Amino acid sequence: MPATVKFRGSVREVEAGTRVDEVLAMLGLSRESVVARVGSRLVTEDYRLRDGDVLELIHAISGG
Amino acid sequence: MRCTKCGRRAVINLRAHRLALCERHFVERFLEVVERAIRRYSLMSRSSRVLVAVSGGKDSLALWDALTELGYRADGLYIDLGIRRQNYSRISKEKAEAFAEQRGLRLRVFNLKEEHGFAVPELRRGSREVCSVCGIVKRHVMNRVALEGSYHVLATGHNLDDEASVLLSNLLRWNLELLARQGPRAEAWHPKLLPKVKPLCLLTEKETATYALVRGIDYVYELECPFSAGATSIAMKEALNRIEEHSPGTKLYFYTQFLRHRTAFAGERPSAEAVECKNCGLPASGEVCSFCRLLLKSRLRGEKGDN
Repeated sequence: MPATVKFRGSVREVEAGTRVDEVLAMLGLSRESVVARVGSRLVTEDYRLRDGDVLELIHAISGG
Repeated sequence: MRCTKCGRRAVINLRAHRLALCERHFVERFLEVVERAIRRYSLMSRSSRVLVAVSGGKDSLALWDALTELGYRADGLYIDLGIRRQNYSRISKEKAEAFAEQRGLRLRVFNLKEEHGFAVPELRRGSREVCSVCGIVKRHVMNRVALEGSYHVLATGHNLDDEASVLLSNLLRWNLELLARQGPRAEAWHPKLLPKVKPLCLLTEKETATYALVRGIDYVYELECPFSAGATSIAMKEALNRIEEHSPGTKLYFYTQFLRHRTAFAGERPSAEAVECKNCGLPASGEVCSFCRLLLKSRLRGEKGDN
């Protein structure tokens, strides 16, 4: 079972074993601009996604 | 990744400081940095009555939470700007009210439409950006409420990314007047004004978001102000984050070194005249303040803009 990545309303699947920083690179995101959460746990960019994990990327940048 | 201090699982990697921290040590450090900014830049004292401007977002609620944790006497002010798109104002207000209620804190709510008959989108005039109108409204209301409530200082949730992006923007335009004004503490230049302070100025936006999440603060994070799309500040922040990605610590160095050297711009600041608005009595640069001018023009137009 792959892992799921949620970011700003979009959902995609990635292979289990993918690291959070690899997901960020795929999405063209800076690690400075998002907080990564798997379930209720905040994780660092070296976290390797497991089968069935739901990774939520919370956008930290606001403007105005 | 493991916490540099205790070996527990880390929740954040602070590359700028070569530190990975667990929840407990991250919160400890966050509060230390807020206190450090308060002391280093003389933002407030223990006896200060503080009014925190809260929007329902991560920064202002994290600031209110941190000041309370550090033992400062801080009330909140929520300004209902009347932005109906995506229920933005309603949802933001609910978050601010829930935060205050859960912690037994005092939240003052100022409803612009009820007080003056116009919401922010209706005050927008022609090509003038909503963000600019919003800034005028917020500055006026914050000052008025703080003055009426006999507070000593007004605190906002501006973080390092906000400050560094404004600095970059001012430098790219060589706006010497704005450079002379920028800093974590804006002094009151009139007896009817309060000092404005930014205790989160040494913490990144990612740190304030992480603090809010670790502390269980329910903030507006899936919703952005509908008028902020395409804002210049976001482009500046993204540019700085790309540099930060390559050279961790650049944002902090950029801002703190500016603060060390900003006296170089001091002569660029025009001396402010102590004039009071003939309409509301608050300080103004002319006969009528910017806020009252907006209201008068909107009344003349009878505008009911795009909300």
